[in-house]
Amino acid sequence: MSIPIDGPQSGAAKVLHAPEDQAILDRFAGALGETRRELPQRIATDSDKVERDLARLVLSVIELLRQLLEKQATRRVESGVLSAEEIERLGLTLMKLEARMDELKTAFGLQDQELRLDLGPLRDLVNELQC
Amino acid sequence: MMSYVYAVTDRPDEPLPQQLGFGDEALAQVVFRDIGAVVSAHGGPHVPGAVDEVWRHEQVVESLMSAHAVVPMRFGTLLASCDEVESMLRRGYPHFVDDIARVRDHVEIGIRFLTLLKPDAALSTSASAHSHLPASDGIAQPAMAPGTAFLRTKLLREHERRDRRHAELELVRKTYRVLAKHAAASKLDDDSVDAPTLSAAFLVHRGGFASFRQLVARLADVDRDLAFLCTGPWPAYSFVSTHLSKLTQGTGS
Repeated sequence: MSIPIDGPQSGAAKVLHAPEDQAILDRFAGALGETRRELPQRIATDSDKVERDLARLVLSVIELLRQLLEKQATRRVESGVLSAEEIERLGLTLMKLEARMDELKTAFGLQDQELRLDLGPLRDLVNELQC
Repeated sequence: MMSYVYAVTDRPDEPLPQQLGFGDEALAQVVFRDIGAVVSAHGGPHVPGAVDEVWRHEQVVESLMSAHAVVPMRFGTLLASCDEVESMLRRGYPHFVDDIARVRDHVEIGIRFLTLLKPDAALSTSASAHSHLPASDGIAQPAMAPGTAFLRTKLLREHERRDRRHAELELVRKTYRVLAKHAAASKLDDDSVDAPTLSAAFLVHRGGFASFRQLVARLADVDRDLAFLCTGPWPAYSFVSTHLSKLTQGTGS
């Protein structure tokens, strides 16, 4: 039996089945876009942009570390080894950190989705921490 | 000149298709025993990663599939010379032969799954998520210390996320298992904890391609909690074991 392998010209020729609902297709497109989202490969040298791009880069790293700290904290709470006082102290620290991050994001006009890092192989490490 | 490698095939005595490679360079073959690598000359150490180049790679590989069993190389496989290509074939010969036997007369079909569960459908265990936190009747009672309330909220969200992901994975795995029974081999990429879609690849015999496609459409009709984006037929990229990095001495890019 012959099947149509004759060199594609575009991705549309390769779609065998897709949802008819445009809203669902948009979600697929959004999901694919999300996996490709990454920080700009170069920092803009335009003086208007350079500060924001640098802030975006630095805050992305800080946000990643903050989220890792948060995951680690919830793990420790779940493990049951922390006293009530320790939980409160940890919670207050993370709360202040989150509030401070929110202030910085507002100051530089950055949205949460702009601070997601494409971690490449490091993604597995982060996923492991999330499990 | 460097050599861009598209694929390794059986029957190197067969003429190559009238298909041009990158930069409209002619295809050539480097032969070792009964297998051959299909290459084209390449001017520099980098391959532009534009969409057109990716499709050109795909066109070359697929044009080979009409007359050969094809072990596709990943886009961007570049070796220093034809001697390096031959050396790769020599070192990897047993693996290439195994791969060729596995993919002969088969194609790859890819499916992306998107779960359409309602937001509260998966939440069954979250209510018991924080027995280890100081007692409270609500998530953020006024009486609760602020730091503890903050962590309680985070913990609840974390459990909701895990429950939801668990339910999504179960839904996808159920359908994946049905499809896998109709494939020679299959893979489900369910490692990404928060990926919005899950990907699966199926190695399907050419003779079973149409019925597999119909099965996908039927399952998609039946399962209203799961959406499918199915593509193919592709060369069997996900089902070859021969990785260039194992076969070269650092000259591949």
